[in-house]
Amino acid sequence: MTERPRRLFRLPTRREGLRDEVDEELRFHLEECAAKYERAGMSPAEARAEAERRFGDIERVRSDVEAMMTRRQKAMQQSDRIDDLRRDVAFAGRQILSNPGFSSVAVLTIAIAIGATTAIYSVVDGIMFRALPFADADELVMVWADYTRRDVVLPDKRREWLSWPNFSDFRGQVSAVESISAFSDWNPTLTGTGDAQRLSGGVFSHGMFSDVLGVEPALGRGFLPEEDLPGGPVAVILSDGFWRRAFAADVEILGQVIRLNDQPYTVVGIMPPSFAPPPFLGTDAWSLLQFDLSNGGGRGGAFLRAVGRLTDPSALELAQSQARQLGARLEEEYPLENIDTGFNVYPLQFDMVRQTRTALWVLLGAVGFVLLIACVNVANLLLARGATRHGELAVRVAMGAGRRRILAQLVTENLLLALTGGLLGLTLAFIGTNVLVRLAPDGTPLLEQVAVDGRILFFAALVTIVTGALFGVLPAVHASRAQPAVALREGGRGSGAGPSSRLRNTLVVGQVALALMLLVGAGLLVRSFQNLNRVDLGFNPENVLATQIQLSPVGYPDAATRLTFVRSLEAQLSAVPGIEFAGSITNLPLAGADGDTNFFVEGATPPRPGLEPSVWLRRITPGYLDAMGLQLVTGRAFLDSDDPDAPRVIIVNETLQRDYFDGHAVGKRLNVNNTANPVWREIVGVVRDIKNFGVRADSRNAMYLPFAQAPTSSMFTVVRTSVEPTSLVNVIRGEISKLDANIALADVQPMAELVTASLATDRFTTSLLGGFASVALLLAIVGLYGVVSYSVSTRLREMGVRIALGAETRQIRALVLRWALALAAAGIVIGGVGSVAVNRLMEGLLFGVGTTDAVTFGIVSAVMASAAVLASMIPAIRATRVDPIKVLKTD
Amino acid sequence: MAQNSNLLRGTLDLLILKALTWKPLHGYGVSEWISSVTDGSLLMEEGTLYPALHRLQGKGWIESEWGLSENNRRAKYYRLTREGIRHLAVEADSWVRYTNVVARALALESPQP
Repeated sequence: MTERPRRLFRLPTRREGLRDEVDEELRFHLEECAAKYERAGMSPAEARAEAERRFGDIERVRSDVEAMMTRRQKAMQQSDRIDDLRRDVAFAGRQILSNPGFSSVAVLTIAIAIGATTAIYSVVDGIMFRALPFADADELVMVWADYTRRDVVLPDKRREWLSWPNFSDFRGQVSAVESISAFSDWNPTLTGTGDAQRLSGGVFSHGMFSDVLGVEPALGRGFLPEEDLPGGPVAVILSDGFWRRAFAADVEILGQVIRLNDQPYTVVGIMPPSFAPPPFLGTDAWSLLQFDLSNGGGRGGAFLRAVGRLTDPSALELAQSQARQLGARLEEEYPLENIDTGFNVYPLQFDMVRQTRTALWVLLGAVGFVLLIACVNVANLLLARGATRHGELAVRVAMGAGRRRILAQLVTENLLLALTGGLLGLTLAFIGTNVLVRLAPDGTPLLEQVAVDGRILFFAALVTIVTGALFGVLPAVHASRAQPAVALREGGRGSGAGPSSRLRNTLVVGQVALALMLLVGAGLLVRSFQNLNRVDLGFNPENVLATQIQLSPVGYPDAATRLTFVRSLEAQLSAVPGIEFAGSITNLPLAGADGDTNFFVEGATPPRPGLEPSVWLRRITPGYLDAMGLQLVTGRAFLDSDDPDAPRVIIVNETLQRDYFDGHAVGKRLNVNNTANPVWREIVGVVRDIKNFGVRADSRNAMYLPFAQAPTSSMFTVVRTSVEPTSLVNVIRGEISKLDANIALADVQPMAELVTASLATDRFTTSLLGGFASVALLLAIVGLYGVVSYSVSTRLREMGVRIALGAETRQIRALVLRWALALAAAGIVIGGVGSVAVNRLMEGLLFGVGTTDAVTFGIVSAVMASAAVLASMIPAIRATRVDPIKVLKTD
Repeated sequence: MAQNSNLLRGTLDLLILKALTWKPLHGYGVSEWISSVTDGSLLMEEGTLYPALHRLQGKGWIESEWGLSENNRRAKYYRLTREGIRHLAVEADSWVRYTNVVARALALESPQP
């Protein structure tokens, strides 16, 4: 066949065909030529030889021409393919734009799935799975005292602090821990370089940097062992950031003496900028403990935590069992201090993220659900759409479109949709990760490690795109198999029942079930969060400001000077217009425990030594109760006359009064600490219980001593205002500076903000899960709508017959609604059962609400049922508008 | 006769296009016409004509179709396309100008014209 028609109809040319053509053309030339020479009188053989001679190298010409023809053929095929692709893409674009509702829902679904999955996973990965930024970080462990056997209320009995002697024994005897360093908070005030400032840092026993964390200063040197000895040289190492901030990166500072808490410290090293200290070590400066055993550091005085390095990552269990044995030995040896005390050894990263752990797992699960729901939605949308295009596909098959062309067309279309969604999802992933990091509660550990994770982005994109391609192509396979004649006769209505419609129903039921589970989870968290916000704290945080004050040991060496300072400050503050009351306390409530104290009651059987009841203790000034809004139940508050010269007095809380004094505590006496030589203190008042350890924790025994009878150098001053509290922040700072310019000004924080901050993780989890549940609900509505609306469109004829036979609008609508509700009900039941099974994992996140809370389940089911009604509204109305004559005529 | 192969190829292409100006021809017809108008001095090996024909076809200046020859044999006929006609006009014009310039230069007897 000649070239033009072949091009026109795009018929393939085989290679042999090409060769024959070339042969024929060349043969023709040679024979014509030979004939000419014969006519001129040569013999046939001579003529032929002459023709060939004049022609030249026949073989070369033949192969040259053949190669050229093949090349041209290939180029043509390629340009055909490119043309096809261009046509497909253009057609796909037109299809997508011609149905903007469907397309935007599909694209958004894919985008949300990819974006949300990637963002959440990136956060979870950064915090929980990515290794800490230290060499062999999997060898690092945290060592705690274990108080689980003690009958006390504490925030976390598995994680109590260690005493120096117990730490020392651990260091010497647990061989699976190769090196270990005990540390304590250290927030010294830097003076002598401009404004006084309070640093965030830590003190530790020798070896924290060099042996345990395996980091070295970038400038100068690390600590020397003799710098950890009591009375030895006092050294400090600064962080790169602080060095730049406070000393303008001046190298000369090395070897110089700076004043911290009015004591001289020699700067010996600067850490590298890359050093990211674990949060419990602070960020600015580090020094050594110089622990002095003779200085009253008994086995009972627990004020240390410890980080260790295992000999090997697999040595954790060995370390734990050695620690258990050591605990038992010490308990036997020192029953007084070590009774019911053990050790716990936890991997460092696990330990650091323990509070956010459950929340992150739940969020990760939720995001998996959303991804699944989104995929189901995409599948359902595409299946429904594919089914409505049965007619179109049948026409194209009838017109001679090959199966491959139709498949290619549909794949192009779906890929275009999926890629648009993917691109949008990519953007969402980056925005979402940043938003999450910004929204995450302050103090969430390891947040700086979070970065958009390429693997999960790829995974989520792959899952959604494959889903899109798969379910988009299914109808095409169906259509290309079908007899076009049959499909066309059905008038493009497609076949309503059949496997694909059953598949759609199953998918939508599953989708409803998953969405319901998410809604239940979110509902439980919302209820729990409401409970948390309704908790009576025992004091009134509204209109209260608090700020920490740290007095230097040099300027305020004794009780008298400290007391004078606090009294003057409170007097000054009380005089400020807008401030109603001013008072002070050694440490704010909700801030956790800072060293427990033992006590026992006068006249009661003395407890066995070591088993005295423990108590949460604070020292307060007379103004504190009014400033904090802590109500006195009976008796009196402290007075200025409760000073060092007056009899020892004490205020207890209701729990202590109930448990130890049968409801009548005032006038009774008790002893605090000092078991050997009791100092009896008279109870003068009883105050309400407060949430000592945070909103979630139970109240516990608490007592308050007069600040004046033992003034500390660190305290929080609290004021109650009659005006908007934040308007007084600078006034308060001014008053403090007026009194002593050498005091580092800490944040002046509204108390209500501290309460809010203590619920930050709960709020974060609740709002995120709430967000996911909303997305899931929306997707489920879309899914239901898609399926119901499709089933209506395939049953138009039936509706027409019903209307023709006299069915009323109401009945038709009820028919559609029943259909949607049946699907939703199946989903609700399955989802409900699933929730009961899965939500147990959420137990740790909930407060005052059970995992099978009937109210939540009820509300959520009702919401889902309403969603189903909503989703079937439009299809139902469409069903009632069917014109029976039209529908029946079309066939 | 030593021939610059590029020059030869350009010349051959031009002559093929010229040969097809009046009516479609088969390969042999083109070769006969070129031999007759150049006294056989250009086409030393007739075979080289065929790669040239296909090259021109690739450029879209000519197209081919099978037909019947004068003595009723199947033969492949080549015909000028619209683009081929335009190309020939442009090339022939510049060829003439080029050869004139070269000829004038070669005819000089003193370094200054």
